[in-house]
Amino acid sequence: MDRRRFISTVAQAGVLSVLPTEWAQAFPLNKELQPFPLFIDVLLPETDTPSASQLMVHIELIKHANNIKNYPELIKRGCFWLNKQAQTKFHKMSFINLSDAEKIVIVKQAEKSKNGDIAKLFFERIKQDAFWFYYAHPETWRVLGFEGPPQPNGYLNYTKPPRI
Amino acid sequence: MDDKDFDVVIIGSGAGGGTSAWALSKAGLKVLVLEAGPRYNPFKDYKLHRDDWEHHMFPHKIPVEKRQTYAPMQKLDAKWKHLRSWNHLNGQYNPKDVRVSYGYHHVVGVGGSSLHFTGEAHRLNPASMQMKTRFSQAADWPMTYADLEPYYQQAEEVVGVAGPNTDSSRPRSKNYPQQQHALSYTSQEIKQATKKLGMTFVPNALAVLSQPKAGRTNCNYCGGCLRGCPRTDKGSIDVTYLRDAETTGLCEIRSSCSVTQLEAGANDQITAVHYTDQQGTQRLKTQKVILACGAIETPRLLLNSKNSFAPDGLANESGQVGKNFMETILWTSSGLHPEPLGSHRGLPVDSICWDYNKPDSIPGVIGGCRFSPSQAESDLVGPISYANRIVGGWGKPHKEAMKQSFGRLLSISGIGESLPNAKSFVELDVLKKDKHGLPLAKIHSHLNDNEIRRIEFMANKCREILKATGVKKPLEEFSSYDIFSSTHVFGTCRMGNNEGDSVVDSDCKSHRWKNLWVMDASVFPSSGGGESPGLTIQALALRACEKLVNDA
Ligand SMILES: Cc1cc2nc3c(=O)[nH]c(=O)nc-3n(C[C@H](O)[C@H](O)[C@H](O)COP(=O)(O)OP(=O)(O)OC[C@H]3O[C@@H](n4cnc5c(N)ncnc54)[C@H](O)[C@@H]3O)c2cc1C
Ligand code: SF4
Repeated sequence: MDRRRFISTVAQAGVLSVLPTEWAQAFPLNKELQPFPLFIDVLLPETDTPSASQLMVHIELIKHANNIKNYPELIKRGCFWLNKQAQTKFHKMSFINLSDAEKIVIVKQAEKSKNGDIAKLFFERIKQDAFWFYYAHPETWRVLGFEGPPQPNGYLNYTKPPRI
Repeated sequence: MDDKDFDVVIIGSGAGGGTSAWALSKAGLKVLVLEAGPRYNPFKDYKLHRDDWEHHMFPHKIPVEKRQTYAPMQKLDAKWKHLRSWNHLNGQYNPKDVRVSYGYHHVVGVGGSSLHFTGEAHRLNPASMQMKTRFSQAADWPMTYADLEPYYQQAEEVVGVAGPNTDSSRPRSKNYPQQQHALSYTSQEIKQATKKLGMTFVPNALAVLSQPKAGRTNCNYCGGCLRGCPRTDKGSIDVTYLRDAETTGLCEIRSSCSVTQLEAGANDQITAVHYTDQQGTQRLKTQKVILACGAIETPRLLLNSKNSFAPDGLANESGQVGKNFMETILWTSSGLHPEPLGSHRGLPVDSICWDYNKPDSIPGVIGGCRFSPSQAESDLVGPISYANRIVGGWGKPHKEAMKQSFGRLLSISGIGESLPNAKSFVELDVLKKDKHGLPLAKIHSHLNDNEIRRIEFMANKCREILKATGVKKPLEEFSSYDIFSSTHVFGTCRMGNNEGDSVVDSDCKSHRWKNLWVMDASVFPSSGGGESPGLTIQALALRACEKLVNDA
């Protein structure tokens, strides 16, 4: 960006610094993290394109988080918060036991939480990174009318109206 | 070649250094280029073919963010609050009440910042070359447009510039060597819609091949120039001047060699160049030196090279080294067009409006500007950026909105003249040093009211243009008013006829040091009205090298 300033906007969003932790041992998903793929599927559900977890976005996100200080803790606490809401709001054991409509209620609550709350932080950060990984899958592109990646074919039809 | 064989040592291999290497080696001189950065391989290093291409911006091999420091910038005034940078989902880009820096954007590598550039290949508007005489601003160019014209033509031929032959404000002796690129569908829409504003958008002049040339293929309109062109159709310095220079057998490029000092002796001569490579520190005796490290690092090297013969820094007899710093003055507005445009397709800046380019064309403001589409420069050409900056939301409504929005984003940017002022300059940072213990360059940037009013003009016009195309409201705006963010930097070793107020003469030669030249954007006496500087840097270097060869 920058005239060109936006060149590293998304990268700049990485405010968390790199520090390996014992997080690596927490995966593959143990019980306390089971809500995670379901949470990102609420953000990016299956429609005419796959859901986030069908594209293994939760695994990519976990690998990514593994290298960033405090990020694993954020996911753990976020999942704990989701389970807690499932219990207090819907009297279910865990977020994974909720219906789709119930999950949406809880995610909306995370979105509306106060700035600085763990739920808000978890929601905002995971949403941004889920988009980051999800839309790097060509399976998500066709319905958008995006015929990328930009190379090797380029966009030779660039002078014409786009094909809808 | 043996070290003592070199006729000329060139420091830096960007637009200035690469062009000089070409001109001198073609003329039969033996040239050594010392470049701080590594080589890039366009076929391997650039990532536009990958599914995760959006994760990969320009692949800097040497991180550049911390190579300079920035002095605290000016306080922001509530009266200009309509000129702040913001995004409709993420809020203000700079929430502070002082201007902040997003940096001087450049590349440390063989080919310099051209590896990253969008390929605009502009000639300066002749009307912008006499700012001192006409407006008591900046300095006059010590040459005319007509003096530079043959070298512009030559530069256009070497890199393969494609452009329109109809721009009467910049007279041409010959047609562009390459046929202009057809306008993208998006630019066609802009051109049509802005007729009712009385504005004229024309094809931009671009160092991008519309036809194959010398082993380089033509463009396939992927829009990814800023991430590095993997087809070599973009005329970056590495695949044009430097490639040709090396084939002469007279040009050696030493990459990853950082020059730390110019050694000067009696008789006003530079005697040696000190540089570091993998083996350690080297001292190279030299006959002639061309300095081309860009408008920030060139003054730094001169100031860091002070000695008993030049106690205030080398070539700083006038006290002007580092002064007169000029930056990129930018405004961008982005919003969603009502119809699908496929606006991610095509060359990044394929059309341009020069209507306000002359220095007296903005009412009440000195210095001109230009307008162009800028989806790629705003990094709004892929699904990830749409999701996070334009569409937002989540769940099924988000996915539906992505389908409705993708390809409709329109960005319009204005880039304007930057006039020097006493508070904008480059100096040595006495507190921050590089790994060799040398002070870093510290950038001071200040916008005065004239600059801010030019930004305001550009903001109003960009919003008008968006509206004329049918965009209901901007969703994001980016402004130099609250964020320093520069790709075009100039002026810190100004050229001029008077040795009392300039660093080099009209042939880019130091007024005092008999074997020292500066050939990069540092020498610009004024910035022009938003023209991109690369082609002018090349034309100046071609002209100066011709003189150097003739005098040798
Ligand atoms: C994202 C972006 C887009 C741009 N788009 C355009 C455009 O479309 N058109 C245009 O005309 N311009 C554009 N520009 C600007 C253009 O790239 C620069 O103006 C031009 O490259 C400057 O040339 P230069 O020779 O002054 O410096 P540079 O190209 O920056 O080259 C300086 C070189 O010197 C080397 N160096 C520095 N210090 C040392 C040292 N101590 N020892 C050895 N080597 C050293 C650096 O590593 C570098 O390679 C853009 C720039 C950027 C970053
Ligand atoms: S738009 Fe053309 S010049 Fe730019 S990167 Fe793509 S192929 Fe190269």
